[in-house]
Amino acid sequence: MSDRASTHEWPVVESETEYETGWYDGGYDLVGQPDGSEKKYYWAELPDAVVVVARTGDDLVFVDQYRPAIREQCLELPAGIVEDGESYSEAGARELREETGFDPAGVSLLEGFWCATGVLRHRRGIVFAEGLEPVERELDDNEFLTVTTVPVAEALDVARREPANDATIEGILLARAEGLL
Amino acid sequence: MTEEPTAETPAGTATGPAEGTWNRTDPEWPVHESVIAWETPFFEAGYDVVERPDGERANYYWLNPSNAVIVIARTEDDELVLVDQYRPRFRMQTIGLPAGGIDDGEDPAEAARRELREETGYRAGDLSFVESYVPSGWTRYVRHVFLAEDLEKGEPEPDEGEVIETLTAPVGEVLDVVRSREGPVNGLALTPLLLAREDGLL
Repeated sequence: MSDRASTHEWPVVESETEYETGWYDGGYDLVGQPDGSEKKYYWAELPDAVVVVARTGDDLVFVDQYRPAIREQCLELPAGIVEDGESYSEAGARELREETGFDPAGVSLLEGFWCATGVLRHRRGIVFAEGLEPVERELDDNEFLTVTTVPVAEALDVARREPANDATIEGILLARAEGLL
Repeated sequence: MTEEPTAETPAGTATGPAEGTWNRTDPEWPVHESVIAWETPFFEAGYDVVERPDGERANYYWLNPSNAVIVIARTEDDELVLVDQYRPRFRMQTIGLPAGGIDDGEDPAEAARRELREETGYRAGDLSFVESYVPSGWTRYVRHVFLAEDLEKGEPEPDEGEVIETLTAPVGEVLDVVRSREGPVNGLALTPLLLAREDGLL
């Protein structure tokens, strides 16, 4: 597959950042297409994120929080940004501990993928966490969230309720595909 | 479970990025200002100045692309239609499902038929709704997943410069095909395929 990828590599004529925020950088690549034309592909680039499927007994850990950017109350799997030098599993363990107060004994990567929205240049990893021990939470000052648990058997229905959340659905189904739920 | 989008729902009657694609008008936390800070031909981006429960004001950044459709197209031989294309944004070749943005005023189901036709050449006789969901907690857009059946093969109508190779894979192997590609997987295809399997559609 790597051979084919290299033969399809399109030249980047120009890469320009147009909008910088503390959250993401926005810009475009001017790309030479195989037919000789050039086109701007816009992107919003931000660090990798991790989503945690954390099982405790017959329940999954969920967080309930208001998402001001999309103006929705979201009941979803714990998630956060991967910090420099962290693996998805390390970041998942840290986020779970900080956000929910559960320290996992074991964390494993289920899948890493491009969050392909046609705009984002952003990768997401989904990890499975187990062996949870209650510890002290350490919330960032911009996090107002409630920790709750949802029975494994109901988790998918909860995830598919409005506003249905892609990462949460994906996490539950990937864990189920691995026989973990 | 989400209601099926129809021509009557806001998702299908987009009139413009600001109004049509994301019309949540009753924010729980007060919005003191909404600023458009970056405009491209395809979307707007900016931030809302929001008052948090502790009284502090903070900027919450958003992006406002058009809503999108993803199509799981099943042939009579129980194979699914996949698209293999170079993604300049990721600078790599990806394999996934036919997908694309919904045009202004276009019904999501019509967009699904159109994207399938343009990208792969397949015409869908039957189209059924699978699910709608929000792909990100800060990007203001919704993805609608459809299952297309009773397919008739025709000529693709790619956009200018678009290079898409169409292939098919047996229903039972599709997830492996998508997940075994070197590098990060194409996340766009993962949720629809897992959902369709979960719902017994595959």
